[in-house]
Amino acid sequence: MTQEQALEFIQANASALGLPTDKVRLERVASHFIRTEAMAQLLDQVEYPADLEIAEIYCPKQIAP
Amino acid sequence: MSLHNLSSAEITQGISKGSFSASEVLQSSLDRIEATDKHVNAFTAKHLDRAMQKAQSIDTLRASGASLPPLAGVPFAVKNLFDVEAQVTLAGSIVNRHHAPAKQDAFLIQQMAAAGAVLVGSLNMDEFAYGFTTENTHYGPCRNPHDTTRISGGSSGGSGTAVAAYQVPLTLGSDTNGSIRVPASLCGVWGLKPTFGRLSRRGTFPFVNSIDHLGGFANSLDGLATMYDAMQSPDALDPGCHVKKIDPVLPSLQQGTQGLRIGVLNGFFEDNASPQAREVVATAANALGVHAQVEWPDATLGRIAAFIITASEGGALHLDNLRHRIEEMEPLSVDRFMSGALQPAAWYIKAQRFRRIYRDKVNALFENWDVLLAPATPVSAPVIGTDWLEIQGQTLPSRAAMGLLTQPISFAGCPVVAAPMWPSLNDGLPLGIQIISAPWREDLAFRVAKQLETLGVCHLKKVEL
Repeated sequence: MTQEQALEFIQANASALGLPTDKVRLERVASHFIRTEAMAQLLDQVEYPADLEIAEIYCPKQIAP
Repeated sequence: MSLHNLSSAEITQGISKGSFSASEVLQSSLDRIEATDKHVNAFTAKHLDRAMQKAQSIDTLRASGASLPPLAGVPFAVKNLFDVEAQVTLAGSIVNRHHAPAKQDAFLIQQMAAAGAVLVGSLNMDEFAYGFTTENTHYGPCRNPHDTTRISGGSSGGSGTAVAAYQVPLTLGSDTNGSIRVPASLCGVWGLKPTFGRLSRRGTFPFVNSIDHLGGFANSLDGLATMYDAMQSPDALDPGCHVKKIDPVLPSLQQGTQGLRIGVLNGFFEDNASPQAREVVATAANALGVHAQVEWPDATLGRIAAFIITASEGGALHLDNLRHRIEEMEPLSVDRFMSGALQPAAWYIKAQRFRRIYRDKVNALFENWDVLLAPATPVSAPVIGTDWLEIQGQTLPSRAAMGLLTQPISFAGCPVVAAPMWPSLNDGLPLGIQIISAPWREDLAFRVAKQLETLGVCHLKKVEL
């Protein structure tokens, strides 16, 4: 992902979420985003079986009888 | 009489014998805070009235002849993300100043109070716990008591500093990716990050729900164990608290290490460690007679997945602050929060799916090992304001790199005792080790820690302030 691509993505999504879109800030955010994207690519190289669920935290609460 | 440098056991024994009162212990702690906090900036608030009332109640209890609870009269303080009744929970921010005061104490403060401990104040931290340095722009940096030009570590920096500076013998903190173990290492004190889901987080300001842990710091291992046992309890009101019963560590603390399968983590944990960090692990291993080298599975990927989940959940949690109060947020972390808020859901979900694979691999490792050793931080405390670090020929961003060696461990949820150690060539600065055991086996990590303390390998040092 290039800086330009990252900026474009960030600009669009920041607008969608109602976040500030000033250029100086977005450029700083883009540098973080690019580093994270490179990390996310490494996670993509792992094989994930289709039935592998996300790690759990949610637990249904038992209703008292 | 100077009482501020006593351990919690020495305090409770002294009060029980009538050598001094809980009120005298409290006053000594308050005097120490008054004399030293201008140098280290650990405290953001003191809770004097309630502290005096609690100390007096312990003295009244003692005078009545009743038996005293295990932490009777022991002063403690908490990272300022813990709810304290009638106080605003800042979580290191100025944004939260507008929140209503807490209606009750956090669950763990209630547990500590029930054990007789005396809450004296709240402590400095990185804003919203997103950092490893406690260079808090709003409240000033928390300073390392061993060299006040250096960081205390974070995000529970005030909690590490308050113990290292002998202001209080016990403190509470939180640890998502290393926020107890990093300041424990850099300040040279004992720290505990229990198993994920062991201690209730109810009544604390969250950072990353699916990775947040609470734990503590102490100036003695016995104090850490006593505090940990006192805080344990099932809590159906914290969806992340998974325990059904209490597993105390004090009964087995003195059992020694015979029969335990202990190894030293290599690979990632050597490649990202300075010579001083490798030295302290080697010193501990030699003292224990340990030679086996062990590779932790997928440490790099574990760290990456933790990083992505942290950014995503943290960013989402603070979306409204990013929208409306971004100029009031910590300049050192606000751009990371925003980047996290914008991460695609696919990255987050993949990281959470990877966590299941990772958990199984780490659990499989512990079929062959009981306890594993690793450095807690790659280096000792950098000077405040340091942006970049050189570690084994790599140039790394200093603030993120401090958590390199802790992040893969907490992502698997394993319990860790952080033990204070002192590299030989380090200008008197500490650098601690992680004593890691399988999930739900804190007792084994404590036994190894006790052995290292008994051998004189792990200990605190006095500070000049």
